[in-house]
Amino acid sequence: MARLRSSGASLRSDPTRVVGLVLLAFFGWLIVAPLFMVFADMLTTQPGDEARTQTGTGAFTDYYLTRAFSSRMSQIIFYRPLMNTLTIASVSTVLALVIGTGVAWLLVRTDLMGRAWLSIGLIIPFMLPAWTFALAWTTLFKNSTVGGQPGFVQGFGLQPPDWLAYGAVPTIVIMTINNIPFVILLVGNALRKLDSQLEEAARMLGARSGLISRRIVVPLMRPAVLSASLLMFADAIGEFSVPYVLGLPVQFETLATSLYRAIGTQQNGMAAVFAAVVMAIGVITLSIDTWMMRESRRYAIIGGKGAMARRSRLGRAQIPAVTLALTLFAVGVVLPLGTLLLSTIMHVPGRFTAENFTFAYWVGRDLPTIALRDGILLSDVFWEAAWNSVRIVGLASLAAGTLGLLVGYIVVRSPWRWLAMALRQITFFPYLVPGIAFAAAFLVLFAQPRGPIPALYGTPWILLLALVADQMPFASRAGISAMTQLGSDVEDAARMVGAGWFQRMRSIIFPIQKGALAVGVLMPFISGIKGVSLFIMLAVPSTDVLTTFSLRLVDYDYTQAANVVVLMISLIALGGTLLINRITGASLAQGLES
Amino acid sequence: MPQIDITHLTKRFGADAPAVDDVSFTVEDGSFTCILGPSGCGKSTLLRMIAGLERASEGEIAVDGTVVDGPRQGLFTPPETRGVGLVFQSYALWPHMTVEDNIAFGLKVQRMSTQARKARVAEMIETLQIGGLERRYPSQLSGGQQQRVALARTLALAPKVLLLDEPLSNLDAALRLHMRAELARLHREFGTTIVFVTHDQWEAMTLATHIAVVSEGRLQQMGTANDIYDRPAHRFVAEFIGNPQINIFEAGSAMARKLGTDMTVAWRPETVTLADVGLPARVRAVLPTGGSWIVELDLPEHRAPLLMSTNRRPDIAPGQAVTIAPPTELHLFDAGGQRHASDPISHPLEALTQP
Repeated sequence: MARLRSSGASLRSDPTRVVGLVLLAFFGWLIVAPLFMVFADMLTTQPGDEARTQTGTGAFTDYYLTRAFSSRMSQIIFYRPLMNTLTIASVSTVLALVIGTGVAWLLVRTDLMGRAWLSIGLIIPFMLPAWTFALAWTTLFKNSTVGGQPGFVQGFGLQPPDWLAYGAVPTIVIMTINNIPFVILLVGNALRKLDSQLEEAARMLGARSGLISRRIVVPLMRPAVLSASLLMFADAIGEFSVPYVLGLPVQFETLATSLYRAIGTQQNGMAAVFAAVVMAIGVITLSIDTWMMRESRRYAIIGGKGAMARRSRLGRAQIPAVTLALTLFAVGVVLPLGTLLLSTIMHVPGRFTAENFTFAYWVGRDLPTIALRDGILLSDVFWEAAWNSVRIVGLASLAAGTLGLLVGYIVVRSPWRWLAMALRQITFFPYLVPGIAFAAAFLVLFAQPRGPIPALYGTPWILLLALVADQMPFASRAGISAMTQLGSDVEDAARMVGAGWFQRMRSIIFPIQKGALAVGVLMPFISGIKGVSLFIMLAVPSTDVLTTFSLRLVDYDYTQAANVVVLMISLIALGGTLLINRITGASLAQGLES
Repeated sequence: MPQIDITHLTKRFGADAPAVDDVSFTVEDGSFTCILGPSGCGKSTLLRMIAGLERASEGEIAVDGTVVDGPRQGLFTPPETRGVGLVFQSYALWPHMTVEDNIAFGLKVQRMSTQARKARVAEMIETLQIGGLERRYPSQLSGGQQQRVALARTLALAPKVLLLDEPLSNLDAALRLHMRAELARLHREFGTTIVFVTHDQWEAMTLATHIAVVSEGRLQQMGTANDIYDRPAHRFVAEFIGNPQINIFEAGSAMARKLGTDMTVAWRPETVTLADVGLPARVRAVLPTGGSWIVELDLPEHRAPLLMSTNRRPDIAPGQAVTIAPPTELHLFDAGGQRHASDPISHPLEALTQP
C-alpha cells in the first residue's frame, strides 16, 4: 500500500517516464510505422498487381525490385532517373560550395564594401521556395515545345533551345542558386569562429598567406564545408518541385518525380521502391555526415572568448569582388523576383508596351479567363487556400514546436538513457527522408483505416500529421538545445514548493522557453509554407492550400495568377524568417547549426 | 521536532562507484548542520536526497521520526510534501517572474488565499530586507539580493527544515560576512533546522553548529567545529580542514621515525613554534597573509617545507637557522587513515634531541 502510494505520488509530481513513453509511442506511429509500411509495400503484392506478380494480394514478391533494378524497363524507369538525380544533386552541390565558400570568405574575412547589406541580401534566396525560381525560369525561357503563353525571351523574338529551357541545366542552376545561401551561412559562421590568432601565429613563424590557407584555414574549415555539402546533397536527392516544373516537357525524370508519377498511376509497389532508394541515399549521406562530425570533434579547437576574425584588405580587388557579389544578388534575387513580379502585371509576357501592363491579375474583376474571374487578391479561392495553408501549417508547426520542447525536456531529464536516445534519433529521422518519400509513406499507411485510426486520406489530418512528422527534426533540435541550456534548478525549486508536473510545465518551463518555442514553431512554419511535396501528394481539392492552388494555376496555364500566388508565398516565408531573426536576435546560421 | 535521521544511506548512479556510500548521521533538531567536503564528494547528492529530489538506492531518511525515503519499505515522500525547503546554489530564481511573483509562487501552489498570500509575501520581504525590489526581475538584482529573494521564496512556506546549497560561495567577501550574520539571525528567528553543504571550510566553521565531513561518498566525521578541528577522526579530515594545510610526515619517513612512531604524523602549523632548544631547521620563506604570517621551514630530514603559522610578526629572515620547539600536539593516523589516539600526543624533548 505504501509502495503504491509512493509511486502514485511520484507519478503525479514527476511523470517524466510516462510522458517519455507516450511520446515514443506517438512518434513510433507517426514516423517509424509509415516508413516501415513503405518497405512492406515494396516486398508485397499490391492490389491490382496480382496478375503481374502471380501471387495473391499481400503475398511476398520481388516483382517490384526486379522490375526496377533488372528488367528490360530498368534503364528507363529506374537507372536514368537515378543518374539524373545523382547528377543534378552532385553538380549543384559542388557549384554552390565553390561559389558560396568564396562569397562567405568575402563577407566574413575581407573589407568588402557594403558587406552588411550584402550578407542579408545574399541570404534571401534561402528564404524563398525553390520552385519560385523554377516558375521564374519558365516565365523567362519558356519555348514553343510547350503550348500556352510565350516566355519573355520568346517575346523578344528569340527561341530558347530545349536544353536551356527545360531539364538538367535549369534544374542545376536553380538548385545552385537556392543552395548558395546555405553555404554562406554555414561556412561563414565557421569562418567567423575561426580565431585569427591561429593564422597570426603561423604568420609570426614566417608562413605566407598561401601556406596559411592550405595548412591552417582549410583543414580547420573542412568539417564545416563537408557537412554543408552533405546536407545539401541529401536535400537535393529528394528535391521534387524544381524537376517537376522544369523536367516534364523534355521527359526529364528524377527519383522524386518518378515516385510522384508512380503514385499518380496507382503503382504503389514501384512508388515504394523509389521511396526506399531515395531514403537509402539520404540515410547513407547523413550517416557519413554524422560520422565525420564525430571525427572532427576531436580537433574542435575553434572558439574561445578571445577569438577574433580579422579582415584582409581587398585593395584593388575591391571592385571585381563587389561586382561578383552584386551579380550573385541580381541573379539570385532581383532577376527571379523581378521576372515574376513583371509577369504578373503584363497581359502578354515580354511585350513592353503601355497597354500591355495591368494590375488585373492582382486586383482585377471580370477577367476573360474561365476558371478565375477575379484578380488573385480579390478571389475567394485564394484567400480560402491561404487560410487553409496558414491554418494547417500553423497548427502543425504549433504541434511540432510544443512536441519538440517536450522531446527536449524528456531527452534532458529522462532517467532512462535509452529513452532519451530513442526519442532524439526518431524525431531526427524524418530529416533523412525527403518529403516526397515521406508523403508516399503516409499515403500507404493512412489511405485505409487501420485499427482505431480511420482512413485519413482526403482529410486535412493526414496533411497535418505529415507536416508535424516532417518538421520534427527542426522542432526537436530546437527543444533539445533550449532544454540543455536550462538547468533543472528552476524546476526543482518549483517542485520544492509543491507545484505538480503540469503546473511546472505551464508556469515555469514553457514561459521560460517561450523564445525557443517561438523558433521551434516558426522554423517549421516557414519550411512548411514553402514546401511542395507533402502538399502535392496529400492535399485534395477539399483542402486546397496555396501550393496546390498555384500549381493548379500553372497546369491551367494561368501563369500570371500562378506567379501572384507564388510571390505571396515568398512574402510569407520572407516575413516569417525576418520575424524569427527579430525574436531571437540570433542569426539563421546559428539555428541551422544547432 | 524536525530531527533528521540518516541511516546507511547509499545512492548509486549506474554502475559507477556509489555517489553516497553507506552514510549515517543525525541532524539534531534546531541545529545548523554543515555537510562539508571537496567537490564531487557526494555532498550535493546527499542534500538532494534529503530534499527528495533524488531517491535513495539503499538506507533510510527519516524526518521527525517519519521515514520519508526508505527503498526497502517502498516508502517515498515526494519533495513537495516533505516540509523541507531548499535554496539552490544558483538561487534558481524564475527569470520570467518578478521578485514578488517568485516569492508568491509557492503560496499560490499551496492555494493560500490572496489576502493571506499578500501578507505573507510582505512579511518575507520585510524579514529579508528586500523592500523596494518587489517589481524587479531577477536579472535586475545583485547576487546578494538574488539570494535574499531565493531565501524569502523558500522561507515563505515555513519549512520545518531549511536546506542550503553552498549558501555563501556566490557572494563577494564583504557580502559573505554580512550574509553569514544574516543566516545566523534567520536561524535564531525561525528556529528551523538548517542543513547546508559547502566545500569551503571557512563557511562551514563560521556558520555551523555541527559539521559532517564527507569524502568519496563516505561520512568521515561528524561533530562540532572544534571537535573535527582538534580531533580529526581521519587523516582526510586533518588534511582537508585547516589553513594553511596541516604538516604530514608519512609513516616510515625519517621525521616520523625521529618522532618515535611507525604511524603517519600530522602537525598543525599553528602549533609549530620556535624555541631555544629543539629541532634544528632553516627558514626558507616568510609569507605575510595580512595579520598573520606563514613561515616555511626546511628540516634536514624532510623534503617538503614544514609550515608554521603565527599571528605575531616573526623576527626572522630567509636563510636563518632556527630551532623548533618540540611538538606538543601531534595527530597520529594508521595506514588506513584512522586516527590512532583520541588526544593529540606530545613528545618528550629527549626523543628529538637524540642524534
